[in-house]
Amino acid sequence: MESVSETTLRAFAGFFPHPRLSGVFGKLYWEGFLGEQLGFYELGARLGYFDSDFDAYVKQNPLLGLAALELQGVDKGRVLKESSKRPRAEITALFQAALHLADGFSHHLIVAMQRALQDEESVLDSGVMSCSGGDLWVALGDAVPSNELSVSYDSEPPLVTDTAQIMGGFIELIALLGAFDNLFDGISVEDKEAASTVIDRSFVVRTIANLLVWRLNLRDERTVKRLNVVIQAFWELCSEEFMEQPHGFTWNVKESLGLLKSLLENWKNRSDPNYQAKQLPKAEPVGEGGIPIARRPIRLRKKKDSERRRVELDAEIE
Amino acid sequence: MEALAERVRHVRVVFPGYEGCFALLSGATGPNVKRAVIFVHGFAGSAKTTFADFLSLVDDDETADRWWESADLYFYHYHLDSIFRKVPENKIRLANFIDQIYPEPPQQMFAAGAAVLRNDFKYEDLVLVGHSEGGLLLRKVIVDVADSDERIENYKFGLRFGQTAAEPEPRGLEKASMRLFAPAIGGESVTGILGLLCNLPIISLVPKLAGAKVTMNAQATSVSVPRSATDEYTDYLKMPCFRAHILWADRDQIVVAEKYRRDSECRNRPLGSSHTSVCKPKRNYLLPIKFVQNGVRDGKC
Repeated sequence: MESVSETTLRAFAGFFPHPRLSGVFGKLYWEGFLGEQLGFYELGARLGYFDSDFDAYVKQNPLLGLAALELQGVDKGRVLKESSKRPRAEITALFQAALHLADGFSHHLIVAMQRALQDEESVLDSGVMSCSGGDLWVALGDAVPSNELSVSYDSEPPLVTDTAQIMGGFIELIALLGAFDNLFDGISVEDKEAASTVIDRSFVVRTIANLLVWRLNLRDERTVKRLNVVIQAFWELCSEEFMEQPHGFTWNVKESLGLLKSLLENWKNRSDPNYQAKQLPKAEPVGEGGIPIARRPIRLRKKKDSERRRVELDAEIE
Repeated sequence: MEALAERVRHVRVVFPGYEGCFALLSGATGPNVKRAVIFVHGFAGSAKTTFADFLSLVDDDETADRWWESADLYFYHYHLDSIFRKVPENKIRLANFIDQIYPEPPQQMFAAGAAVLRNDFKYEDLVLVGHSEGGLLLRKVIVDVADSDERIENYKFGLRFGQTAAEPEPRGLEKASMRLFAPAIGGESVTGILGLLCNLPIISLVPKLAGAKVTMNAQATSVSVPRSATDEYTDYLKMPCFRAHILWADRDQIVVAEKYRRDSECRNRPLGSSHTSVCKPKRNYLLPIKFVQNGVRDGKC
């Protein structure tokens, strides 16, 4: 896939309003976004989901057309040929549901978190993140619908330092990954290469997983390391909330850790290990076992005389 | 309805004027589409994730009956409002949303360019599906509708004086069937940040051995009023909208599983299900799809 020009990126930035998407991450984001959109289009056309031919589609989506010309990513002839083969309704339904869910990655808090995971520099590189329930509450409450956000592509944005936004993004992300888990549950992707010619559920799942891996690439060492910092802060937040608000129930720490690990492993394993997701320089692949999970003991924060002290909990996984 | 040889699939369409809300419209022609099924998520949920896999499974011969081909599905979204706004406010917005759909949905949803899926179209039936707080909101919407129906008031008045007139025929939303997953009709134990965390799919909850009393305010007006009002209506009305069918989770720490008097609850609770998972169908858990279609019969679903 070739690089998208600055002109195209600027054009897109005007049409898809996301704040603070400039610089190196902005370029990565829009390239990834365009690749994903075109990939969905190509797959959808092969499945017969998009009725119109490519030219008509481009006419309705001139920006995508512009990007397509630059990316040279779509074989128009194949798309037109494949669109005449209509697979069963359940295959297109699976595609439609995934396309719908994928839109959830554009949530501004998830984008903020993605930036913190992928940018050249990140607040997460300090190895420590802290977010109280109160901070998170404010961040969520301040959430403004994305269509009301202003675009400032030309101005250099500040580094994402708002950890509450990152935490909000993580929580939204977990809900989204959970939905993908539900959608793809029971569909095996083993031995299913993206180049397969058999269009079945496994093929659709593998292809879509590859299209989305740039959003959260758990084979990228730096991403995994930074995500671990967020997860650690998340567990601390959970500990604090469950401790401070007495109820007739509590959380099962070990089981919750297992559920998160399983969710992330499923996400990682659905994509093709050899698939090259676009990522920023310095990112290196990691081997097996690179799934992020809290490695430090979970710390419990307690408020006492306006000060927080940390209490080690014996809740380390594995 | 004539037999539909090839399975008719649904097409996702954005719902106009309500951010985040969407519909799955059946590809069947006008006369073959009978009903609207409206899904309402709960606290900190979303239209996208709460009922996620209804989207793909209703179009699959292996997982869903053909009943679904004759249904349009609508997914209401109020994610931030469910966290930050009070129940009465959320109820009003939901009532407006439902009014947009039943019996006559917005025509603009059925047209794309020159192509028109259906014209001058009305639904015969309505199924309201709620999860958690969504269930409570739906019950309040129905009570409001009944409260403003003078025919019901007159009928009740007549009964008091020994009149034997027939029960008024349900009209509008009174025709709705109600399917509720773990509804917060007996109270909800957590809201705020803790509620947000508890509703995540990765948080496993367990009861405390020496548990504090479940704190949810079952006496709160927003919880107690629809209960007493609905129970009163069911004393003299048989309309199905007051008699919900309920599927509780197996292990639910979030809501108090206490139905209204005339509700039908499924006694075979899905093993291992939690408050958040009970409404999410999967290939190996198709109960939610069957439950929405058939409800509860003889305590089973």
